[in-house]
Amino acid sequence: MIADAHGVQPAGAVLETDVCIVGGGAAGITVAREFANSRQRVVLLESGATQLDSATQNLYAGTNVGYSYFDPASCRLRYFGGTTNHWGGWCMPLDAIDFQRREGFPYSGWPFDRAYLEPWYQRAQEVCQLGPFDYAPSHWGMDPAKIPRPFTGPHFHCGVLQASPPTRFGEAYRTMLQAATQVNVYLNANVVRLVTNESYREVREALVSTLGGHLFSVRAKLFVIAAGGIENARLLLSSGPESAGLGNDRDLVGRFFTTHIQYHGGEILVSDDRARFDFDTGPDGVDYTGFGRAYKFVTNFGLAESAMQRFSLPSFKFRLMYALTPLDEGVNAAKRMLEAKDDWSGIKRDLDTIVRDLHRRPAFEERPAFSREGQPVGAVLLRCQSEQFPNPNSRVRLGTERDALGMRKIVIDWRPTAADREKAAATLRLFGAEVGRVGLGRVRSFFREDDVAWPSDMFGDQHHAGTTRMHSNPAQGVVDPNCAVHGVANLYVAGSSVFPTIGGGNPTLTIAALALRLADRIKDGLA
Amino acid sequence: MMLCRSPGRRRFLELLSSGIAVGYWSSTGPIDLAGADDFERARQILVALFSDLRRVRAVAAAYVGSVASEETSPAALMRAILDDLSISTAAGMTVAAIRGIIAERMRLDFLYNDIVCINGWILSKTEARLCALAAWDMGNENKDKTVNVGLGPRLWRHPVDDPARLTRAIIRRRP
Repeated sequence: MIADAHGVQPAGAVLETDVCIVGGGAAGITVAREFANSRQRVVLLESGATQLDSATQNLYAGTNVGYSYFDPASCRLRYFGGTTNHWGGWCMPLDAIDFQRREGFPYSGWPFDRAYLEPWYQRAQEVCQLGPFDYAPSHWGMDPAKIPRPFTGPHFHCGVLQASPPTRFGEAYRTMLQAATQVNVYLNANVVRLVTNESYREVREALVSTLGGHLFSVRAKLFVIAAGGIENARLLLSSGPESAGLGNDRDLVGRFFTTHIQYHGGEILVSDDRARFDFDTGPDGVDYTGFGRAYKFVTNFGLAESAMQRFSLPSFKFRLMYALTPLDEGVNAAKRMLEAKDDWSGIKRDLDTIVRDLHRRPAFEERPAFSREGQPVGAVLLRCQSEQFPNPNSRVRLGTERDALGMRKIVIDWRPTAADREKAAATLRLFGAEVGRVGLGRVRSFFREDDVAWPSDMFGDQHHAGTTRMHSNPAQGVVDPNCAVHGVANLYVAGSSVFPTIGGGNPTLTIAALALRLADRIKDGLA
Repeated sequence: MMLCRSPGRRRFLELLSSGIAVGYWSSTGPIDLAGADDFERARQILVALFSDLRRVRAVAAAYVGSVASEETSPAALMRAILDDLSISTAAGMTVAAIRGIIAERMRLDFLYNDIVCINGWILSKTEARLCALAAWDMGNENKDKTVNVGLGPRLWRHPVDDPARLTRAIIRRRP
């Protein structure tokens, strides 16, 4: 059933259920749909309705005080389906190394390995409307022999992202949840506080308010916070002891706010006349029908696990962007950036000749093979995504201003560090050396060696993670390996806020896998 | 690698980009090695790898501006480029053969991270050294092209600002 919270009468009513889920995004809906045919009763509380509403969206308002970051009111969506309502749909599991404790990588290591999570990853494929749990490029019709070095190792590799339609979770699963007799979804239901017992060790009920001030509460055996990577921390900090927040005995809630760091990291001057880039699908992807029906996939490239270990580097993924002549709209910004910062513009032209001479190869511009969409390629830009090191000083916390419901607004203090930049620059150098070694060409890194700044277009992505990080030790994590909040008997967290490290892959598939696992745990526990 | 900011080298960079250093010499034609010693033969063979020496100047200037002083002479550059290959052996090789050796040197540079970063461009030290060697050569070749004032010696041996004095110094250096 899906209903409007205003229909819960009378004011001050208490709804009784087995499981209360806070948040109707990818995580919350994934947990809820697992109970569609269950005997356990579930209440899902969603702040928004089925369409974007500015008053509700403004409940996300907050401020940035750290490194420049997205407006908190615009980098996520607060209505049924959550941020999947503007999600691009790219999916991939985290790599095995992303789960490991890594040398030179503080706070790394998940409490379990990738193999352990794979059964839920396989089920998450269906939830995200993807093909089979198979990310080997050769199984997607790609001929490894046609992928040039250095994209085939040893330090870098070509991978596959599967493209979800993208699944708008609110739309895709609305009918299912509407028909589920044991699942009650309430829209316009904002949880403003979790009410606990006196010792703060057990949640008794969720206090709910509509924007119009209609109040009621939900009493449950178990509570699952699935409100998003920032909002999960906000709700915990808004509950429990006034000075500390719930589950925050160790002052960890909201810390370790981590995301993927995005930037144009460099460009490739291609000098190898044998180079073919038709193995690259580009961002639009291509359909592959080898699995019995058409599934879309996108190529992406990344640092190999062996290189991450050998050089103590965090995960690094990149895509190739082709600056066509005439320039298409998508690369104009990057082109302008290049021109603005390039006070040695002749060197690129010089190098084309130098490298061509030393390798005895024909001129770059004379090769008709190197074109895309019928246009010659002027430059290959590297669109990079670096994994951010977990940093306890990178955090979200409560501000002093209050929203329309009286909740304290969020303050985002995102802090990428010098170490993040150094590792990103080192990875670009490694890639540049590999491109040179195999004779593909030369790379220009946009990291200046005489400066500490990031490339000028660097930004933190909308992959909010780490604010309720998972660790078996309560001194190092907010939730335990089962995503239960340390020290609170019946409270769980779903979503990317539990990621101890963000890894290299886009997070939604992992969010869904962890949500499925949590649903299984809850069902087992309740049974 | 941090780019060197010493005034002398900066002045050289300015000269490179100014009208003073406008000499153009291409090595695409046949190399006249008659009467040259092994060092000169090897040097000219290396320089002959480049089809257009105008293209090496910016890289050369940036590299020389960034490296330690022991590499700022043609002899030192030759030693660094050729490594364990003797000058006499190199002097007896063809341009094609030396190109193969240089390609392998560059490959190994990249493999072992023996790289330099010039305005962001990640280059092998060998190719940067070759550019530096060729830029020096621009000062000593083309005797009949009077506009060439000899950038190499100006850079490495004669830190003076007077182009006329510089030219005299170069002429004195010639064998």
